[in-house]
Order: sequence, then C-alpha cells, then structure tokens
Amino acid sequence: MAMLNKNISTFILFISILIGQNTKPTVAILDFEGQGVDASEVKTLSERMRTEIGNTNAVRLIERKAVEKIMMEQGLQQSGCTTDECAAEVGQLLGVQFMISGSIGKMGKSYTIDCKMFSVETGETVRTKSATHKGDVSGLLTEMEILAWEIVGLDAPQRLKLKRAGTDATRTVAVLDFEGRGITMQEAQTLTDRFTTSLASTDKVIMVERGTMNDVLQEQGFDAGECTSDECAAEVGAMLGVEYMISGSIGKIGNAYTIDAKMFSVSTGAAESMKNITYAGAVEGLIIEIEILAWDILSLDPPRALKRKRNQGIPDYSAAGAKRKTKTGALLRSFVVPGFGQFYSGSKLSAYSFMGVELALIGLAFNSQSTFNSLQSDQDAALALYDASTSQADIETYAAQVVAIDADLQAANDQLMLFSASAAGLWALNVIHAFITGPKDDLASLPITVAYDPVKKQTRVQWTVDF
Amino acid sequence: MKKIYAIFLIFVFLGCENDVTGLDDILDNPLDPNEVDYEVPAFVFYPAQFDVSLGASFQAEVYAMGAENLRGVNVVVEYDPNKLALENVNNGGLAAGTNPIFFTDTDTPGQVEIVAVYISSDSASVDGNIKIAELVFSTTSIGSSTLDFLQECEMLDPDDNLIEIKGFAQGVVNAQ
Repeated sequence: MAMLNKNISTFILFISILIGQNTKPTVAILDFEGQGVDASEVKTLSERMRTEIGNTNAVRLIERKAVEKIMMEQGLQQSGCTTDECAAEVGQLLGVQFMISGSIGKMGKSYTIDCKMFSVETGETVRTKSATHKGDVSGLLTEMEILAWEIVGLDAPQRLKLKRAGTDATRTVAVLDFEGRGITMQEAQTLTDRFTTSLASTDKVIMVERGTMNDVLQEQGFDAGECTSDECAAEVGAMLGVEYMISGSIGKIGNAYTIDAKMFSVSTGAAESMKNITYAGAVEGLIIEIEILAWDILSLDPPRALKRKRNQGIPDYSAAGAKRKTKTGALLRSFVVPGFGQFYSGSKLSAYSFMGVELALIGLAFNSQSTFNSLQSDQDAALALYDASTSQADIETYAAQVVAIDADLQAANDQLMLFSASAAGLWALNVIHAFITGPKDDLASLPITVAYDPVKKQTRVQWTVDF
Repeated sequence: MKKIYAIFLIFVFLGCENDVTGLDDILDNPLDPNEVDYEVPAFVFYPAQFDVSLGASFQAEVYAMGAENLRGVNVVVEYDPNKLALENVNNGGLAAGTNPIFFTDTDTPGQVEIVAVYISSDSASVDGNIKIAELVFSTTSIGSSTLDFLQECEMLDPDDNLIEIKGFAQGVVNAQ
C-alpha cells in the first residue's frame, strides 16, 4: 500500500512538472546582427544570452541547433535573417510563440545592444530592451546576461548588477560579536570591531553596520554576545538580508590565545570559510592577528604592511609613553651619527640617504688622504735621491720627479678638502634636517624657549636638552 | 671608544687638510743651479748645512760647481777654530790617478788651503760638478759657525788661465 502511494505521488509530481513547463512561453533566439563588431564575437554574445535566458526559468528556449537546422532547410543563414518577416517565418517553422532578435553596434569606444521580443503569431513587439557599454568588448557578456533577464520581463539578479558595476567579488557580510572565553566582553567586542574594520578595508565585502545588527538582535530579544549559535546567526543574517554571516570566538588558554572564525552562507547554511589562529603574547597583539584573520577568511593575501606589523610585534606602549620622541632627541642623535635622528623620527628614506651620502663622502675623503700619504712617501723618496745627488743630470731628474709628485699632492689635498668639507656640511645639514623634520607632535620640545621674566623684568632664553 | 670617536669628529670637522711644504723649501740641494742664489762656476760646500752634536765629527765636501774646462784649483776655506777642529782633509776626486797632485796646507789656524790638479790620459780638463776635497771637522763648542771660501780661491784651465769664479757658497754648522 505504501509502495502504491509513493508511485502515485511520483506520478502527480511528474505531471505537475510537465504542466508547469507547458505554461512557459516558447522562445527562440536568433543570432544578433553585428554592426562594426566581429562576427565571432557577436555569435559568442548571442550564445551567452541563450545560456542566461535558460537560467531565468521564465521561458522554454529552443536550442540553437534546432534553429540552425530549420534555417538550413530554408536555405538561410542566421546572419542573413535580420528582418522581422524572416524571423517570424523561422519562428513559425520552429513552432515557438516568441522570437528574440537584436543587433550589436559599435560607436567610437561604446557598444550598443538593441534587443526585441515579438510574437510569432501576431508579429507584435512584446518588449524591447537596449543597453550601452563603454569599455572592453568582454563587458558585453554581462550586458547580454542582464538583457536576457530583462527581455523576458524579469529584474536582473543583484549579482549581475554588481558585476556590471565592477564589484563582482563584493559580498554582503555581517559579523556577530566574537564570543570571548577567558577575555572580557569589551575586549572581544573591541577585537570584533577591529575585525570588521579590517574586513571592510579589503573592499571585497559590503559590511552591515554594528548598529543595524544590534537593532535586529534587539528585535529578536538577544543581548549583545548572546547570539552565538549558527541557527541564530543564520536567522539574523536572513533578517539583515546579507549573503554571509561571520561568527567566531576568542579564547585564552594559559598565555596563548585562540581565535576561531567561520563564514557561512545565510541561504544554505554551508560554511564558506573557517579559519583559526593561535597566538601567544600580549593581548594587544591580538589586534594584528585579528586584522590578518579578516583577510584570511576571505582567502585574500593580507597587505604587506600588516604582515610587517605582525613580524615587528606590538609596540611597547608604556615605554613609548615614558620616552616621548622629541625634536631635540632627533637633533642630538643626528649630531652623533648622521641619519640616526631621521631613523628616530621614522623617516627611513632620509636616514638611509644621509647615512649613505655621508659614508660615501667620508670614504672619498679617506681615499684622498690615502692617496696623499702614498704620494708623500713617493715624494720623500725622490727628495732623498735629489738631496743625495751631486751630478747635474741626477739633480735635474730627481728635481723633476719631486715637482711632478708635488702637483699630484696638491690635487689630492684639494680633493681631501672638498670631500671632507662636503662631509662636514652634510653632517650639519643632517642635524638641521633631523630637527626640522623631527617628531611633529611635540612642538613643546623646541630646545630654545624665549620668555619674559616679570620678576627680573627681562627676556630670558632657555635651552632645554631632552632625550 | 670615545677618544676614537672624538678623533674621528675632529678629522671630519677640522683636520681636513694636509700641510703641503712649498717646493722652494724642500728643493735645497746646494748643487742645484735652479734653487741656489749664486751663479756658476762656484765653490760650494755639500751639504750646505750641518746639524751636529757637540764633539761629533762631520764631513764637508768641497765642490767646484758648474765648472767648464777645469784643470786645477786652489781653494782656501776659512772656519772658526774656536768652534771647529779640522781633523782631516781627503782627496775629493779631481786629482785622480796613482800619483795625484793634491796638496793641503793647514798651518794657519782657522784656514785650510787645498791645491788639486786634474791629470788624465783621456782628457785635459773636466766639466760639471767636481768634488775637490772632503774636510773632516769635529765640533768643539756649542753654537753656529760658518765655513767660507776666501777670495784667493782659483780655478784654472789646461792653459793655466784663470776661470772666473762667479759664486762662493757658504756652509753653516750648528753644533748642539
């Protein structure tokens, strides 16, 4: 008996599907007419419309091969059948209710698509749609997909509209506050906020604001942090109208922290991405970890700056507070070592530049000094021979050598003066630069202050040194 | 380390130039006609200056500088006998051969007279800078003194004619 009931149910379902199919209008699409567009590209675009129109489930589409077969029998080519009469004739032969035809043209750098659906029986135009696309011809694929929906009287899906807008990878996402285990709720919320901010910075998702989410949660009777189950998350996600929800937890085990995060589809409930991180260190370090996790969960490579931040570790805030950077500090450091003050101020490029050029100049100065010393030795040797000479010929020979070496000595000495003076000048410049471009947040750290002393009735200049 | 750094800084800011002595100060060979203020032919002491310690010996070489067609010389050198003692007079080379004509007279205190004649089968005379004698002195007192050629000095050519002497250099002895 049960078997019989099952067979009857299956039969009823089959019949209803058939009926459902029969109620859909039958449609055939002719290859679009190309005007200034390559024939093969027009064919590909027409084919894309056929595929997408099949996705609408609004019509019964006659296969392209069936259209081609009929046309061949009639001695026609699709590209040649551009008039309404021809299209109607083909439609009658195919036995379809509606025909779709159109043209794709090019004007300058813009493409235009004009599309028409008309009744084969009456010849009446049911619907016309057109689109303009500026850009690469490949962009017409999306336009054809959108037109496929619009020509059958449907609104194109959001994904196609986003695709047209160039944000095909954008997904709507909402993030539930991560559950805190072993850390305070405030810490968990702060980390969740940072996670959300980092997600938004990827430009690959559209985030739902915390306020909107809290409103929905309150409507559902949840307090912050209470909606932790997948079911609850899916329900909230559906109410928010987002495609994906992200939930997770942050736990503390000993000195280590673990972060688990899951992104799942609201419509299907399937997990899209699951990531976890284990981190040992100060709780502040979790900020960087959770920022990276935001990129990981979207299967994106985190920015280099973020990775570098992770490698460098967290800054010692207490130390930073105790030793505030000052312009004088930069000045003194640059006075000791060129570029050191710039390093201190965070201008690495300037620091390396000053260091490099200073080293080069000092190196050149040393080289000139070395050359000078070598020439000096040569001159001493020639001078000794000159002094020891008593014959006229020898005296002339060695005197000439001494004179020649003396010219080289002068040149080496001039070079030494030039390079060492340049090195000294650059050193001084580097000190001034370090001071001028020093930490800008501390104007009070100017080493010289001028103030009027009302007791002594005189203006006083004060020099302050602050490391 | 601080010292090294300080030296380095001083080098960079201050010690960026070497002292280059002028050529006039270093080219001081008394036989170099381009550097001396007397004309040739001349009688010259080589070297021109002697810095010696008290009691030490030194050798002053007597040269006929820039001579042409020289056959013989008669040189009279005067020195301060209170500060210097003549120890020896050696033949310088003008009078060469197995029986050189080389005579000295040291009878007068503070003076030494030298006669030297060039005899050779190759040529009748010599040219250029010719060492005539080596005078070996010792210092007997601290202070400066000079060695001087007297005007009686003569240069003779092979025909026994006098060659005009245009310069007489002076030797300076600093005994310390």
